[in-house]
Amino acid sequence: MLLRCCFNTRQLLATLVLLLASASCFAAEDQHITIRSASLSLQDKTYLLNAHIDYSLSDEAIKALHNGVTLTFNVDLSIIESRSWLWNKHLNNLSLPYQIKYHTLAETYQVSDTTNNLQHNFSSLSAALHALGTINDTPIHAITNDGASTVNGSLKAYLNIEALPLPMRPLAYITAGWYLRSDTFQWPLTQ
Amino acid sequence: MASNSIKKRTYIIPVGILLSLLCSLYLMSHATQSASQFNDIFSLLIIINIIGAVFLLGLLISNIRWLWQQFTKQAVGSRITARVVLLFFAISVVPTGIVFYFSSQLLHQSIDSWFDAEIDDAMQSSLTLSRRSLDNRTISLMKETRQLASQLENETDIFLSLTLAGLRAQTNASELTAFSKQGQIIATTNLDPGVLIPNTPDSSILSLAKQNHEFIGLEPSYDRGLIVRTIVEIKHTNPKRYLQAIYTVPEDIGDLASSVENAYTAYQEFSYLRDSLKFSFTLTLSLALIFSVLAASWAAFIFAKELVAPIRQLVEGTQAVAEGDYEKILKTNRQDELGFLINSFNAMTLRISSSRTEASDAQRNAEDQHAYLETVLSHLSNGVLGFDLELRLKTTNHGADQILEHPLTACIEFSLEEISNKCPELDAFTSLLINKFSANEKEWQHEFVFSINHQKKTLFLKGTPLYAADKTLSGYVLIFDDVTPIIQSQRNAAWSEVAQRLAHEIKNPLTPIQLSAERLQRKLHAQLDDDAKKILKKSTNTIVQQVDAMKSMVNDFSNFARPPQSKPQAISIGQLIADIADLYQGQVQHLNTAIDDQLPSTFADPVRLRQVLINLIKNAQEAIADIDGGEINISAKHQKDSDSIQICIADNGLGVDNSEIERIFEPYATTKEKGTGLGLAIVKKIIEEHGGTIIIKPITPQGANFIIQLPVTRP
Repeated sequence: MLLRCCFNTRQLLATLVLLLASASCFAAEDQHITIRSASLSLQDKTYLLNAHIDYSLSDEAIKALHNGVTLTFNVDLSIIESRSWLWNKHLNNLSLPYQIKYHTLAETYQVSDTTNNLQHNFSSLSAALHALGTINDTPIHAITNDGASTVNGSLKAYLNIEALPLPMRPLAYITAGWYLRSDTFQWPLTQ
Repeated sequence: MASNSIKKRTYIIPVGILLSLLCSLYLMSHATQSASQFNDIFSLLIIINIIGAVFLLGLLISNIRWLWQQFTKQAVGSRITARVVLLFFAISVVPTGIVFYFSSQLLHQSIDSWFDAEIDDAMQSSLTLSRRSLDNRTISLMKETRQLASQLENETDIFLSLTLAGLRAQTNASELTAFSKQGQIIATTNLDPGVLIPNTPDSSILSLAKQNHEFIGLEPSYDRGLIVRTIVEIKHTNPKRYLQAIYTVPEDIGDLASSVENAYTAYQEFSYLRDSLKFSFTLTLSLALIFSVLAASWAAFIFAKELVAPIRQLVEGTQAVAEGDYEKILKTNRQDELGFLINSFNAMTLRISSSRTEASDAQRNAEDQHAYLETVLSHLSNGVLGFDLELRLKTTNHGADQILEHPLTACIEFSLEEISNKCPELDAFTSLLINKFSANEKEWQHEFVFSINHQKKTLFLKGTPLYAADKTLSGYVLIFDDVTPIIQSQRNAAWSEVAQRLAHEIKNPLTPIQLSAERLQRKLHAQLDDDAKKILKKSTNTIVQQVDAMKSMVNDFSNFARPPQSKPQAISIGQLIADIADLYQGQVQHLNTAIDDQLPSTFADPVRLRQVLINLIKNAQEAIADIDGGEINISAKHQKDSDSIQICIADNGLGVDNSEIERIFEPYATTKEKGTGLGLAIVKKIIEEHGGTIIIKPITPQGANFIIQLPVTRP
């Protein structure tokens, strides 16, 4: 029985190692999303997020977009308290979903901020992506100041595969072109 | 007992796992439908199902490995397990594979059939039609915007702000905005006064407008409708100003256009997802196939193990029975044929066990009976001999050995002729038995007298045939007894009677005879002459002497017939022998004594034992009287095994003939000229009165040895 368990565990570990290896291979591909800058500023007891993110879609993503597939990019914001002896504490975690879709009839790109119910149309993809990556004074009500001394802001953006149409998801998970993800951008927060 | 029983298998875990996996598979299948609420957990379901498949695969591999090990070890039931598993596997794989193949083909064909070039063209055409329809409208709106822009020519920025609202009221535009070349808003007005921020064009639209002096475009509005954005350069303004007019497409047209757009987009997306759909459906189908096959294989193993377990038990039980373990009981709760088989096996072993117990009990009873008979026979003073039909000795007892004075135990399975050859002294005895048993007499009795070890023995034989349980003759039994002591005692009694009568009849006239003879001598002595006196004296002396002799003889008879009352006391035999030996030390040339220092004292009549010893020593003395170098050896030792004192009085005299030895202890059996012939008879009587025995053995080359066995009697 123990052998069986070991055997199964070995199988599982091998699968996980393969998955991790493939994930690292995806990561080693061209970086499609880069966070240039990010900041949180407090104004009238509300934090305002400003960020500049460069989005660059892969061929698979562009093809899907032009075929009517809505792409959802999540921008995950975390407030992290750095601790010397323990792992960092996530004080707040917030996900801001943004969508981009192609309107066939109007031949425009629609960029939607689903959090704030904002929508803009763009005639070119680059303009749409630029608008997608420009976060200007977006109010973040979920974040509160609890007086922690050493806190960092953490931001990462990625394509939400789970928001893709269902049939695409299995292949998207194992296709490098769909692994659109930025590195985590961290900056110190001043109280 | 029953170390290994069939375990009651619980199916809860495997059934639970299978149901969970099937449920997960169902959810996954359900999730592939577009409107399913399980869309969000589709990926999780895939992972769960893959893990489940891996789990089942692991189970299958471990079971295959277990089966392989069983097979290589040639374990009981491994072959039938392999066959059942292969059968199950074949039964499950072939139809499932066929179903999978055709389902997959059907699925692919069905998905492909959804898409058609004509439909593609139709969709494209409908989209183009929609665009054309909207194009006509947008062109007219563009003209309208140009007219509005012309009204704003040569106007300052302040005038633009004032006149823009008035212009919007004259048109169908929902929003009018004037902005600079850099996109800076100069003035704006909206049909909805609540809208404060105008719908500004993006940079690319702005650059296009600047480049072409005007721009027209269709855009989806925020509230799902369509808007037309027109931008026209306002001429004769410095710096350059642009007028943007936003027109809302009428609702009916917008809905139709949106419907066409949505349908086209949906079809386009659907067409794009064709391969992904095939992959997802195939994945779901494949997982269902894998589940089915793996679950069937697992079930095959479970079923095979379940099936083989009782068979293996039966084999082990049979092996145990073959090795002699009849207590083997197999446990089962099954109600099927295998359960019936196991119960039958248990019933069989139970019967065998009970039969063995009965046989064992019977054997033990027989052994007990045999031991009982052995004990009885061994303690019987009678001799018992058993023969088969070939007159081979089958059984004997201690009594037979003692009576015949030969160890017949060593002659078991010997025929009577072989016994005769081995023991020539029993020749007459065996010849008699052969004659008697061969005569087919049913039962016979015979008194048989023969000599053994110089002793005459009278045996009373009783022979009887032995019948088996089926009344067939199976052998013969001889029961015999040594009646010599009885005859001897009868003879002694007769002698005692004679002696008593003699003593009574003879002793009475002896005294008058003696007195008469003495009176004759006294009365006639004076009357007779010298010669006559001499004759008288001689005659009367002879009469007196003979009468004295007769008196002595009569006294001996009297003593023999009615011995004086015994007065036993604790005496030392060694001391008694030493005292008597001292008396004869001067009278005998060589009188040697060897007395054991450890002789125990015993209860005996010292007077009568002294009489015995004196009689025997005197007897030996008379035996060596006429030879040179005669000697008498007296020895006494304690025999611990029989707890008796053995006294030997041996001489090297002329001894006794073998023919006389047999009756030397009988009255009047003496060879001597003098004596009454009662000496040894009295000796024997006294020894027997003390519970002992006396025998005489000749000594080679000459002499005789009287051996007394006197039991030690303690107070």
